[in-house]
Amino acid sequence: MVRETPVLTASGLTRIYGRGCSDCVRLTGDAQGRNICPACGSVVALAEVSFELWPGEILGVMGESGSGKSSVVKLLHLDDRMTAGSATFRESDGRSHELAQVDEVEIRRLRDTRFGMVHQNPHLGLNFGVSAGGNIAERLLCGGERRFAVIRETALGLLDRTEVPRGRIDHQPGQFSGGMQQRLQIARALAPRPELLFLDEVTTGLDLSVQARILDLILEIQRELGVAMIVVTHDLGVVRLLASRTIVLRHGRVVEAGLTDQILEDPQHAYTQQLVMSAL
Amino acid sequence: MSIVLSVTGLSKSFTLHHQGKSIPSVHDATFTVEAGQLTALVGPSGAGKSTVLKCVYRTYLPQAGSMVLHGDPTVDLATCDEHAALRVRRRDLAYVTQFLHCLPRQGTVDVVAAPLAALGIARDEARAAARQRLRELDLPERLWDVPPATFSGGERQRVNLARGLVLQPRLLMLDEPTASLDQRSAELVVAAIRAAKTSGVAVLAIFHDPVLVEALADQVVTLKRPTELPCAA
Repeated sequence: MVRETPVLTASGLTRIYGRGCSDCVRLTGDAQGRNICPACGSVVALAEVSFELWPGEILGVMGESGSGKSSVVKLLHLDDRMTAGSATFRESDGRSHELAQVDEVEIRRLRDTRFGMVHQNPHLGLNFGVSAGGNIAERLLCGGERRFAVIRETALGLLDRTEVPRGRIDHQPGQFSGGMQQRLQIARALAPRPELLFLDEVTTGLDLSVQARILDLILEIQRELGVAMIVVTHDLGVVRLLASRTIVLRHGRVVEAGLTDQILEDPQHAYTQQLVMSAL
Repeated sequence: MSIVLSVTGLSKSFTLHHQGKSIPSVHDATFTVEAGQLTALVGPSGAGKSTVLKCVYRTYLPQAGSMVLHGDPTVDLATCDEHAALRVRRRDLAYVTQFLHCLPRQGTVDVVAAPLAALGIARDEARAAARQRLRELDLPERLWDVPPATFSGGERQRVNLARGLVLQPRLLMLDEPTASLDQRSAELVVAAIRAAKTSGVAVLAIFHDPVLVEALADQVVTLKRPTELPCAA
């Protein structure tokens, strides 16, 4: 069952907004204390970020606002293309894809069937013009499923799984509470049985009891489906609970990477020490 | 006797960047732990006893030294990669502190069964093994399905130990496992540690009570408070 190759290998991920110059990477970063290139004014959102994600593993990506943590997810989910670097995604059937080079057709297929994405803002992850069931059905249709009975059954199963009452399958997400919208987003993301799930600040802004149910749900999904996940958060409690390993970003660079408990209890980098000391 | 863990020249200090300070914690610790035996770490408060355990668990990163867990495969926990450390934690190493850290909202049986579930053992089998451990440590059966959040200190500590033992680890690390227990519970814990030793588990332990060191330890390692080192930061 345990595959001994990573699901994802990111190597030197770099994203520069602006025309860029040959000095962008050298003149920005943690040591320079900035992510805007003084030579050409381009924004270096992410530079030279490398990590591996193993099957069934949850990797935490931590950092303050503007550190580049959401850019990691955007590049890997192919919502945005990397300026430099590479990322190899390996499916369980052995096929591997170089995300820096995949074409539009392949991007569609990967996003529709192999990846799942859950946003902080449910408006980005759900279609508010169709019902809850429709939101799940869309993903299944994109994956090629055409049998109505199968789609309906899968949708009901996912609603059960994410504790959205079955009776609400025909309601639109606009009528749902924030926590339920978030759970529906997770149901939608899981519909095609993805191998890689991205979670971007999924509990931010929710009240504590709702947060708890979402975090429990994520852990159950990991236990039962073994899907690998990248969890982006600024919340130390969330990485402590979910992630076995964590990377810490600042000014678009990885300033620290390690086992999550090590990062929280014996942080090495000055920034991580400050971050951990700031926790309530 | 076969050596399970050999710690050699282990040193750990904490660099606090914002204060420009380096706080020494452990200096040059060397010892071994053998299968079926208990090595006790003793020394005054602040001598770095708990730090040694946290280094072996890889929660702390040491500055120098090696911590080799012998077996299949042999791993130096000072230098191995993160996945190797996680594998060791899953299969070979249990660490029981005075505090119970577990997933909130999870029933006690599931808390104790979690290490087995993580190895892919079927839920029923894992829970049966967990119940067995809880019974041995005499945790009242009416508490088994309740999350440990509301438990007394002594009850939590027994849950913690039950979770550490359920795996039959190669190395069991205990940080004051009897600290808040009444006499009867402490006796049950001592019996459980003896049983673990008999079954071949290597134990590295810190006890607040010298009587327990006397009763259980095969080797005693004395740590001294490190002297202030010149500031490196």
